[in-house]
Amino acid sequence: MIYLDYSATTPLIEDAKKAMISAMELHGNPSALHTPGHEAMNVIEDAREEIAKLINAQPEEILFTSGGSESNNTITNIFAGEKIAVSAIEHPSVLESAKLRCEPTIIPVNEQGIVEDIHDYILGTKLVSIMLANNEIGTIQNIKELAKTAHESGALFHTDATQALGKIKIDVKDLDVDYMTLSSHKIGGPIGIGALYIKKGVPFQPFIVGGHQEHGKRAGTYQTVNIAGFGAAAKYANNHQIWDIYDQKVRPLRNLLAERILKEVPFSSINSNLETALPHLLNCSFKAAEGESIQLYLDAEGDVIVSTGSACASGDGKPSHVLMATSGDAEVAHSSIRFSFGLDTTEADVDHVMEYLPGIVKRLQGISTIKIEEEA
Amino acid sequence: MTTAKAPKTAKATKATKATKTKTAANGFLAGTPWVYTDIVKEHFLHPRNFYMGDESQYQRDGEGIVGNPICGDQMLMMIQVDKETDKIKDVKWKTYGCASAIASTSALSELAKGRTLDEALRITAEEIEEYLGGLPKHKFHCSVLGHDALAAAIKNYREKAAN
Repeated sequence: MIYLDYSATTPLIEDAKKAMISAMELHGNPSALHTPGHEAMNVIEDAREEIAKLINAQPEEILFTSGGSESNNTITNIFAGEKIAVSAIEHPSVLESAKLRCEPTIIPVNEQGIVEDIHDYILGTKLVSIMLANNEIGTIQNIKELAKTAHESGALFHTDATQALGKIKIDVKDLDVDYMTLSSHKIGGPIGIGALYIKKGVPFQPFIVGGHQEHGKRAGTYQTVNIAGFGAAAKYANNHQIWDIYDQKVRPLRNLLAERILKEVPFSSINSNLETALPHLLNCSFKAAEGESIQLYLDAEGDVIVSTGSACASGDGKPSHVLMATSGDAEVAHSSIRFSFGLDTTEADVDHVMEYLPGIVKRLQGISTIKIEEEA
Repeated sequence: MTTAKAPKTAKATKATKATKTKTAANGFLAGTPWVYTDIVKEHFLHPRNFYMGDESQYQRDGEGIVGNPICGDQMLMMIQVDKETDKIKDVKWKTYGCASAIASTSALSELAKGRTLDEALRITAEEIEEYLGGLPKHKFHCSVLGHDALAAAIKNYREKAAN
């Protein structure tokens, strides 16, 4: 299997698996004051330190949650009933929860998915939330500049770093953000665990109440095993400086695939800006060929695993809101495929994809009702 | 590309070409939990009666098109009619759409072939779904459109015949 859907979820890395198996032997409730409780709590605090280190935060600024979606919901819950501003390409857990609880202003993006001047959208808002890097096309925002603008206007700043974590170097102090969402299963850790960076001194309110855990910031018995796995994945990232590997090893492979697609697949286009997007992500569209069909043929015939922004695959019957925000063209969204690479993706994997992709796309274009100009 | 086909010793999970096919068959084709039935998969992977390429080359007695690429699905049905028997001699189709759209159009083409025009007009979306052994609910309304295209093709044929 050629797995190129790392942005959806990454396989569990060996270190994380080992740490989790080892944590399964711990049977104390980490909140308990007896020895087994302390042993479990030590594992949790070690993990917290690694995660803090990964973004240059203090351990006490890291709150464990059940994942990115809970972290994002926690943020909109803090600002319930308030005016906030969020970008048009946020993850649904920001967009939908903001609409549910807050009075959000939606900040548009340009064709490359970049949030430009936010002055007009943040007047009187208590919070601005803009993701560090987008999950579908990989656009990285200038968070440092955006946070500065928000602060000058009296708003706090949250960034969802779920996709960016590990792929690029992140420093919360340099970015000067107040809150940051993190997720474990995009960096080789387990699913079901995430974190929220909360800068010392900024407003906070627990989303899940009814327990004293996490210093009263989140109720619920600690997930020792998942936290251990997340910590091990963070440690791996720190020790290997994986953002450098993404930059030096993964980026050229991603660029090679982009180049070959443009050259070898008729009527293809690239939706990700290769200069400014995350190094491991490539979103493309294939005119007249529908994304879900491409995805399933790649799966069935090439054993290549990718994802699509087509409405057919979304579950809600709507094409990707990200590609709609950037291109404004439903056909581009319906016909899109996202390739996301991992640290162990090889050039042979790119060759393998290109063995199958052109034929599949040409076949779908051949039976499509959408007319494409004949090649010269 | 021989490099892609070669066994990869570095990664135990990566298999040779032969086992790759097997993995694909086990994963996608076989009865693993998947949103589509085996018949849908069969019609998606091996569609019947589609027309590849420039359809202006196909001699047809009637044609109908429904759907919209903006919504993600569009189907064109083209029919040849035996004027003596009023039966559909041949059907060819084109589709822009998801697996369910391709499979349901392929299934419809099989259902329609050999029927009289009146019989063909009675083919419903439910009959197509039944033929396919079921479709995911959220797929049904958007992707089973072919019978409307077929009805339009029959109407188109009858209008032309009347003139």
